[in-house]
Amino acid sequence: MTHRTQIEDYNYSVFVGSEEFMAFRTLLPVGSSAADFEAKLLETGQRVQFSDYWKKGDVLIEFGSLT
Amino acid sequence: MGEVPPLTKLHEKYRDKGFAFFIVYVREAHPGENFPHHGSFEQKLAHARQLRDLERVKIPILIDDLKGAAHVAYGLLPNMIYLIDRDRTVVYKSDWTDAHELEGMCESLVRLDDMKARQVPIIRKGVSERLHWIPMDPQHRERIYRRSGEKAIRDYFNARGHLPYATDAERDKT
Amino acid sequence: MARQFAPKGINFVFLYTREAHPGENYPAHRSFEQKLEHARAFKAEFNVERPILVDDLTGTAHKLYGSLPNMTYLIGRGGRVLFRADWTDPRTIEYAINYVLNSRARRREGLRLAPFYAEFVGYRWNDPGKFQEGLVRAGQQAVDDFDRAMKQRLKQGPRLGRIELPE
Repeated sequence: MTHRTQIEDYNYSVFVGSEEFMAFRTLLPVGSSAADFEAKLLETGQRVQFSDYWKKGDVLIEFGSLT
Repeated sequence: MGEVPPLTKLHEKYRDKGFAFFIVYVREAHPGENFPHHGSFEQKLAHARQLRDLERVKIPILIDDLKGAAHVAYGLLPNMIYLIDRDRTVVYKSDWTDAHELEGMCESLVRLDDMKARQVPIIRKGVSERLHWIPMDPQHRERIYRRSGEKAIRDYFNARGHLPYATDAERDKT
Repeated sequence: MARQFAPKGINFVFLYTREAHPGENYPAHRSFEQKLEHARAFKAEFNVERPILVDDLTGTAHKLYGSLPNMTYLIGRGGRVLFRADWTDPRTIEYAINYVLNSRARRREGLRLAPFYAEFVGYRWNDPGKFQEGLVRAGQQAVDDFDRAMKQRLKQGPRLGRIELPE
């Protein structure tokens, strides 16, 4: 899959509602080690490493969007 | 074998609020000389009667078949608990019985019944899971294993490298 | 809640994903700059004080955690998943956090605790008005798409709850 297709695939333009529920079920159950990733901090524009948060303490992460 | 008396209290509190409680008798988790693994259904039945008498169980006991059909369908763990609502949805499940937490879940189901009766629309339901901490009672465990027989204790030791009621220090040594 | 639990060492962050219900006003992201813009609009609209992490355009972080539109995870110091939900409900989360803090306190008192696993279905009496408002904000297309998706689901009829077998 090309990068462009990956982007269009992920960012669907029409909500259909067939969620990938199975992925959530099997991916990171309680007790397992959280997955690390890099993201951009909106406030400063810096790149941050998610693991930096759990290295200092507990972290509660909510996923979402405007819509 | 986990905790029966606290479940009994819960049973007394909720049986008139539309809840049915059951204990499903499955295979012997720690077979020993006194309580060996089941070779026949009659034997399984006899063990279940002993459980009822020894632990003074007031909750109805269902005997699973010898092949463990129910046990397999529900996950094969020795002391799981499932809370199932009228619509057949699994509302709560845990790989160990904790009566204290169960009480909270029963309360929320009672509240849910109330909401439904008042026709409050239930828009969404989701699933959450969490790491659940259970206090270990070494004396209780020792009693269970000794009752089963020395073999049960030996087998556990061979499997885990420490006694089933070992202290933290002894456990860490292994 | 973030303010309430910060002194107990819990950090709250928000991860910005793809648009769950893209519409004319807030369409699906076609560039990272656009995603950042939407994230800024989100921050302004809802007065978000928590740090907002913006996921890359292909949803790397979102996919690692299960791709659902509004999940919440509680990760303990050291990186262990302590709690997670396939939806975000303040009451459930508060309960989960208090449970963790409470278990730690009990352990500090010397109680021996062993880790097990519990799974709950949560019932939510959502305000349908607010959800609809959200769709309208995204644009008419979002409203129509959701409508269509709901009609599809109703056609399929009720599904029996399946028993999930643990590992």
